[in-house]
Amino acid sequence: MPAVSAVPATNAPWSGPAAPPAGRRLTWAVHAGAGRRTLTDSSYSDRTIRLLSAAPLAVLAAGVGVQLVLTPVYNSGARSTLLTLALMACYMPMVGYLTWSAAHLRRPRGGWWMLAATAGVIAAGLVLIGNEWQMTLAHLLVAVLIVLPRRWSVVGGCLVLAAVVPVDLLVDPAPNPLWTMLVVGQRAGAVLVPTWFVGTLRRLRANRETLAEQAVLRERIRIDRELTRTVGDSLSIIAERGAGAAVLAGTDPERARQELAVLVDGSRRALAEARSLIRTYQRVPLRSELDTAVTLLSAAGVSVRLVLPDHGLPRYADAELREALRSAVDRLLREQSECAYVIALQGSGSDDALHLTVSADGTVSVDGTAR
Amino acid sequence: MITVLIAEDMHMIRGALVALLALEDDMRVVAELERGDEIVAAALRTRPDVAVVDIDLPGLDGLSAAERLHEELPECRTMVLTGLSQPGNLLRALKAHVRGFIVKDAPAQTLADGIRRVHAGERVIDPDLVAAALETGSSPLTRREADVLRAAESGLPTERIAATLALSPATVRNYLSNAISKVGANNRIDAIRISRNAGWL
Repeated sequence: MPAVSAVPATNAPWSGPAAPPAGRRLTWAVHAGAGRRTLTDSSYSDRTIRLLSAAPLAVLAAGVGVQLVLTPVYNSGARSTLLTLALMACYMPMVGYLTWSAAHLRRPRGGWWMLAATAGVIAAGLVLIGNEWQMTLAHLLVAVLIVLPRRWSVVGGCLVLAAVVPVDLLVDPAPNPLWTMLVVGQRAGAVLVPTWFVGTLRRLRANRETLAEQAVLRERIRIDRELTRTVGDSLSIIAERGAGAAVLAGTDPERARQELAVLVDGSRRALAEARSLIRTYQRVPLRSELDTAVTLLSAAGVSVRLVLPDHGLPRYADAELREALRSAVDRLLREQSECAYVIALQGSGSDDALHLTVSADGTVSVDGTAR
Repeated sequence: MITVLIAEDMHMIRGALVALLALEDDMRVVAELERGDEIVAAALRTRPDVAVVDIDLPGLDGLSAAERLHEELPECRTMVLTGLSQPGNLLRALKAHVRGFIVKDAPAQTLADGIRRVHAGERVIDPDLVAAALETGSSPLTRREADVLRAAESGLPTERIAATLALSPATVRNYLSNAISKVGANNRIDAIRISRNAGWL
């Protein structure tokens, strides 16, 4: 059995009542300035979502750049390039707004009108520019999938993809409809995937907040019920007794005195119940309780040493073990003995029960067993 | 006859304590004080057997006064009156050689019995306070972190705290950041409140 010397708990790992619950911090936490940022840090996740919201817009902007580069490559005329620029300036803000709204889980205002206008501009571009313009059907596909209600958006999306086949056959001198459909789908996906991803993150965060609010509400209701059942009932009785004593004070002082004595007892019981109730809300790890016990006893001039089991300690002590530890500390604080004490926690062997013993010079003075 | 010094800043409570002890045949109140910085001087003048001291006193807090009293007049034993809201004070009180630690809402007879037992050399500590102290846990703050929080409590800006404690402002900010993180607070004010309530400051 290894002997663990009593050490000042000042530098012990923090395990007090205000410690964050175990598991709250994730292991991949990154360093940011002086503090540690974690996935569960709300300000960090907010910033991440805000940054990710810009991703679909960045993909759209990249698409515009690619289109402007490709147009002169495939068509050497400056007219086509200028037309591409003008037509994209007409519909891209609308597609950008639709994407931004989807990433923020908002229904776009005038979405149908924007979809119609985008479809019109893209159709005009197909007529005016031709082959190199047909990749902008990806933007039409994005607008359709965002604006149309979910069940219709799949149908609308399939129709746009299907429309690629005749368009490609009509405008492309060397048509390859399957390849064009694949590229249009891929370009639309490059915008829609981050949009849906950010939307899902926002939905998850909103659901998490709702769950947290519901948990707080449930806990408040539970505390309210327990307080009403214990302290509330006692306070009601105290109030009634107090009122009765006030009435009796003028007519029967002796009975009023008796009532007041009962009232004082009731008040103390209510106080004890409230303290007991509050204690059940606080869970301090066993190791922290043991460290605190040693620190208190050392401060009082009582020499004490901890002996812990080989197989480690359970994270929390149960009620019996806590009570045994408290009574041991209480008793040792009152002891005036000069001898050194040993607080030992040992397994009983046959089961998982821990046995607490306090001994001085080999004499067991306090003990308690708990599972 | 046990001579008693009482230091309590609330006039009504002080009066009630004096009245309660006046009912005891074997006790006599030799000094009534409302400030902590008057305790040692009054004790040296009146030589009480037991000093009954409130923790929150103007001028000098009760535990600091108890420490000084033990240095100046070790034969005078100190009993502290406190609330359960600051269980961490028990550790500080034990270090300050306080012999009795009683909650203010204990029955009146507990006070008189406690004074007798403390006078007899026993240590009197309310079991509820021991339980509350164990539940609070030990202070997670290092000595320097506690110093910085104490300085911040007085409203000093970081640069002034750094100058007072002979540290650099960056180090002060680090200590504050560590303290806030350790006590699970949202900011320095929250950290001061949590630490103060737990008796870690």
